[in-house]
Amino acid sequence: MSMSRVFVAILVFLCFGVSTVLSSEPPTETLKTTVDKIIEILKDQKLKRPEMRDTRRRLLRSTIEEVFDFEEMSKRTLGVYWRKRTEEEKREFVELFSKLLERTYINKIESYTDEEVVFTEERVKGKYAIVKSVVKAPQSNEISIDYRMLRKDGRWMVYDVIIEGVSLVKNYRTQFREIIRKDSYQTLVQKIKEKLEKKDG
Amino acid sequence: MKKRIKKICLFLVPLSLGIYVFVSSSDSKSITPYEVERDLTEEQVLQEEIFQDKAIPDVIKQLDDVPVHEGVEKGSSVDPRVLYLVKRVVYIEETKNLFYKWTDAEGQVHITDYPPSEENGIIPQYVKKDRIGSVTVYVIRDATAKKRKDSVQRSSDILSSQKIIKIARTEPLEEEDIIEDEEFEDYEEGEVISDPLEPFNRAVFVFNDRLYFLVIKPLAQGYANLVPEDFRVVIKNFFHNITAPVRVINCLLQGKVKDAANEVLRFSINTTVGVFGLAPVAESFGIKGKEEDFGQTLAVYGVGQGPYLVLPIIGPSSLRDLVGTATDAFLDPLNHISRLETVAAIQSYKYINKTSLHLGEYEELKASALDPYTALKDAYVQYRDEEVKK
Repeated sequence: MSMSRVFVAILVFLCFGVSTVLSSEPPTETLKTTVDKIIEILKDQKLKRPEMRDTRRRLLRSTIEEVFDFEEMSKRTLGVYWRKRTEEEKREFVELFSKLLERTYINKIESYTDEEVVFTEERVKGKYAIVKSVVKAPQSNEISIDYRMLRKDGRWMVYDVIIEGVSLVKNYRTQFREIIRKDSYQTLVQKIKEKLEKKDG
Repeated sequence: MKKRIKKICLFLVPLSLGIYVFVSSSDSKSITPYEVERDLTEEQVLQEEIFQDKAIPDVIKQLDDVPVHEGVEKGSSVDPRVLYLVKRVVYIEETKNLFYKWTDAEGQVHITDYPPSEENGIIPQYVKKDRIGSVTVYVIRDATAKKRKDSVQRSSDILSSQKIIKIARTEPLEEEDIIEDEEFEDYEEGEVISDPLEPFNRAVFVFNDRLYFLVIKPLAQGYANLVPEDFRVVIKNFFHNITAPVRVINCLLQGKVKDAANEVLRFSINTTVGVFGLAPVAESFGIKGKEEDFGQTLAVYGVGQGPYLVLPIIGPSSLRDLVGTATDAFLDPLNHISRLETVAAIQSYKYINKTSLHLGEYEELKASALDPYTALKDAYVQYRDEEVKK
């Protein structure tokens, strides 16, 4: 089952970078700039040295944070349960969830080799946009990655990534809903915390 | 024997090339790299204009004289399940623009070119089309309670309004895209897939997990250490090429004649020029295959997934896809070449070779998931739904 390709593709999940964009720059332009920036960081020979590992991760993290709207992602992932949260809980959740996403995917993109990213399509409706891209790896098949974006304060931000038809937000949403239904929201938070600690070790 | 294959290939190549050229001449759609410059600047300008108050035509203002399609306040007797924070959406036919006129929770009136959203105090669920005088008006409702049974019919309304939105700006979003954007308040009801056998499935999932780490992964890893990646890719190509009949037949069953011809062409080229499918030459000519299988064919015929299943060794599946897999196995030429033991050996080798090219991916899924069982189930369903759509 080639669904597993999805996880190869995740490296591009993070292929965004810092972009100082003009207020109404088209979404594809925003993505293109940032993908280039990420690739630059990954290819930088100086940053490849082991003692630079932490610096490189910090750089990657900050670039991701500029384009990913983690609050929007959290909101959509929790769905109906988001509204039931207090302000304090919301803040905590966004922080934990963004760490979880970053942790997992930075690990992945660090193994970046020489995939090529081509943007194929852009569709805009009001403040929503879908940007489609194809990642071409030399050996394997093409992988399609769609970005769902939302314009906030004139800036396009990513709120979901769909890799080979699998939406990250939906995937986490299904898992989180299971946990909340079977146990509680508190259990979910506990589980995310445990996951993060495990990875620290 | 060799001569016969040669003959067949010689016959197939021009034939399928002919069909391909014939069919594709009518509508050739190829992916071209995205072009940014001119189109979007224009579009940007338009966008900016709409945002300015001065760009709002008088027609909208005149609407105040038109009887307002009044919404129903929360708690009203008309439909207590639905909270209507009435908003009006106006399509100006002369200027081809779409405007939303709406009132926020504080009673402030807004005219925008984007629909009211949660930040504005409303989540549009569906759009109702209406006519006031000569102007088409769309009413957005906010269903905070439960999704209504007639939502299917409603979404066709969205579709019809989408066609109009298209004129306002670039390409429209598809019907389902919009629903997904706005559904995030609503997915409480409805499972991704029914899973009545969950205890059994979870047991098989654990079994597969153990099997992977104890047997399959070490085997695939050892094999990968011995055999260079390039060679393993070649093997993969060979096995993929040989299952062409499965794809051709399923394309035909789904009425995709052009894709079927394409598959035949791909098979012919890869078998001849690509030496028995070892090199995917056809792809470099821009001939793209269609990964169709019988599970997808059934889906096209309207068969639902049925209950979710986790199969030993094979992994995630559903009742529909199990039937599909079995049918495709019957169509797979490899399964007909020899005795059962030989077939089993070949299929095992194919499996290990494939796994060797995807090492680390299952680990990745497990590492990113809070509940790997659910994560895999959801990913499987989403992935299959997407395959069916293609």
